[in-house]
Order: sequence, then C-alpha cells, then structure tokens
Amino acid sequence: MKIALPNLSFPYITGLSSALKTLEDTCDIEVFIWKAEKPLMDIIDEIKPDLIFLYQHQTNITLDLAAETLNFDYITFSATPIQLNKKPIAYITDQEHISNFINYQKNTLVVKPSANVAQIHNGKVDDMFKSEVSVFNNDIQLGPEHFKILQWLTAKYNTKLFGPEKIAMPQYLGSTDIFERADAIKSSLVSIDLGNFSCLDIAYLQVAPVVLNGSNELYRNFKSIKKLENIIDTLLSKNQERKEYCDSVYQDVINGKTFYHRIAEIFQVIGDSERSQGSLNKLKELIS
Amino acid sequence: MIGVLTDKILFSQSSIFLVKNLNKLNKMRNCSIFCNEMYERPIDICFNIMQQIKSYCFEGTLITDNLLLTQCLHHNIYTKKKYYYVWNFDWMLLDDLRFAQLKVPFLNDEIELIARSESHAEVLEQLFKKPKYIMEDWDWEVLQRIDQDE
Repeated sequence: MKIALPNLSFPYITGLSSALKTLEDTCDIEVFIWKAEKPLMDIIDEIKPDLIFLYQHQTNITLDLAAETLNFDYITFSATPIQLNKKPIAYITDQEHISNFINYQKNTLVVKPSANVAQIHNGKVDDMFKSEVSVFNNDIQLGPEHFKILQWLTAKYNTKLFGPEKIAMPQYLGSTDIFERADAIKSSLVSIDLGNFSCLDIAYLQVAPVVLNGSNELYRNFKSIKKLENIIDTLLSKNQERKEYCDSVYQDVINGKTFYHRIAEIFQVIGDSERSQGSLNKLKELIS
Repeated sequence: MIGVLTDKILFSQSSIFLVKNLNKLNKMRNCSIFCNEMYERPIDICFNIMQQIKSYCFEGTLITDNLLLTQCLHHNIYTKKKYYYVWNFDWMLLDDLRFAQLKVPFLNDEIELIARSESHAEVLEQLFKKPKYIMEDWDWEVLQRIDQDE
C-alpha cells in the first residue's frame, strides 16, 4: 500500500508521517512525503498512491479529474465536509468542528494530542543536556507571559532552553534535531510545556511534565509562577513523588495517546483491521 | 609558551587588556597573538603578532576568545593545550543557533574553558562544564599560571 503525505510542518502531520514511516515493514506500506508546493496531479500521477493525506486547502477539482483514470483514496484534515464528487474515505477534524460532520460520524476522526514516539523513543540521558528543568519552544509563539516564566525559571533553577525561536538568555542553547530533543528531555528532571504540545512526549520519556494552562487533571498544570514554583520544588525535592507522577503519565500515554494509536484508528476507520493491529503491535514491541 | 588566537585588535576593552597583560607576561615567558586584523594599536606592543593561519603550527598553549574561532581550534593539531576564554556569551548573539554548534567549543574534552568572573563560571558550569580557570580581563598572572600548569 502506497501512502502519500504532504511535508507540512504541522505537529499532527509530522507525527503521523514519523509513525507511518516506522510501520513500513510491519504493515507492508510505502510512505512518501511530498513537497506540499508540488501540484497534486503530479503526485498522484508519479507516485500512484493508494492513500493520500491532504489538508482542506489541497482538496480541489484535481481529485475528481484524477479519480477518472486512477484508483486511490484520500483522507482530509478539514473543518467542513468536502464538496467534490470524489469523497474522502475519512475526515480528520478538531473537536470544535466535529458538529459540521454530523452525517459523517462513522468516518470522521477527531485530532487528539499524541506523543510522537517514533521521533523520541530512544531518548537517553546525556551529560551534555543534564539540567533540572528543560523548556522547548517548538510549535509555540513566545509572548511576554512566556518570557516572564523563562526569566524566573533560569534565575531559580538549572534550566536549559531549546527550540527554533531565539531567546535572549545565556541558557538558550539553540534548536535541536529529533535525537537531541529526545536526549535533552530525558536528561532533565522536569520539563515545562508552554504550548500544550510536548507534554505527551515528555511523559513518554518518563520525565515529569509541567503544563502551562493545561486542562488534563492527571498532569501538573499551572497558571501562575507561584503555582509553578510549588510544583517544581515538590518534583525536584521528592524523588518518590516525581517517580510516581512520571509512571502515571507514562501509563496514560501508552494507553492511547501516541501516534501509533492515531494510525490504528485511521486504519480501523478505513476498514483495514490488520494494519490497525500492526500499528498497535509496533508500539507494544517498542515499549516491551 | 602562550598564544592568543583572536579576530582583531581594536580600541576595545578586550584588546587593551590583552595587549597590556601580554606585554607584562612577555617579560617572563614567550607569548604571541594570532589575528587577522589590527585596526588600532591601543598601546605599545612588546611581543609577536602573527597572522591567524600561523596558529596552525603553534605548539604551545593556545587561547581563543570567541566562539567561531574556538570551533576552528579543534583543527589545531600541534597545539599542546587549548582553551576557550569565554569573554562574551557569544552564542546569544548568533541567529539560527543550533545546539550542535556548541558541541565543539563547550563540550569537547580537548578544549578547557576559562571564565571571566565567578558569576560567568557559575553559568558555564551549569550549562556546559566547570571552567578550569577564572581570569579577569586577561590577567597576566593567571596566564602565567596556565602556562606553568601545562
């Protein structure tokens, strides 16, 4: 089965792409990541994929034209149903738009935060990255509120800051590749998630996540520096409590919050139970 | 024998202290500067100044004072001992900084760090590794100690 995905830098697409790539052998699939600027017709013609992932803005009449001569299915990330003759085999949408899909519930999946296990699985403790607190600014736009938190963190704890957005502090050590990111998370005792994106990756690596404005009660969330201070002081001073917290969030992630679970759901919704199980088996293999 | 690998000699705090202290050190031990440009001669110079390229055959203790030169320091194979004197937190000034760029200057066993002050030393130790020396403004006595220790 040939699967094509656009190389858009949205965390959800990146997560699906990474997980699918690692499933090539297990699930007998071939994954193609295509440059989103390239015309869709060229992709369909050159690769002849069996399944294509598309964003709403990429779904256009090309799909109807291609469907006249080629046999393929597509899944679209969309806020509304697609008005084309060639209908998607499944939709992926977010919670606030699910009501638009009332007639399509059987083949509509909701975007759920997930750990990008394929990218972080081998994270290991490395002296280069050792810190009490790590913070990553991937996938977030830093504002004054964030800078206040970072200034306070760097003044009080041994903190290391990473990510693509430059921060004018000596503790900012630049952007990392996926391996360095995994090692940097793993080498810290506590990792702060400023954007509600990386807490599941942190939890998967069995490091204590602390989430700004988080809503999941299982995770330690904060809205003020005072609360953050209480959380970090507790986690740093009480090893047993930190370990228990890490274990509970790790269990939460491996029981349904990884991109392998999302892939399994996608295969399930398109009626491919074997590959769906293959995806879950891959996760079991990794965590066993 | 101490060599200092620097970019330019300017009318700046760093250059003035560097020249002044090497003048003093040179009375007891050989020392040289390897640089590419000399815009100003802030004070009289009583030691050798050579082009940067000459540092590749230098066999003594070599000290750099900026991040980019320290990345090249890795390739000085004849140098007996290599130090990075962290005059500024240079990495804060770089655009598109990647962590990998900091590995050679800061996390390489071959290159030791020298901090400018106790507070700088504390930051460097937290982020990378403990500086071997603390040297304020190119203090010639510390330079002499570095040379003796090797």
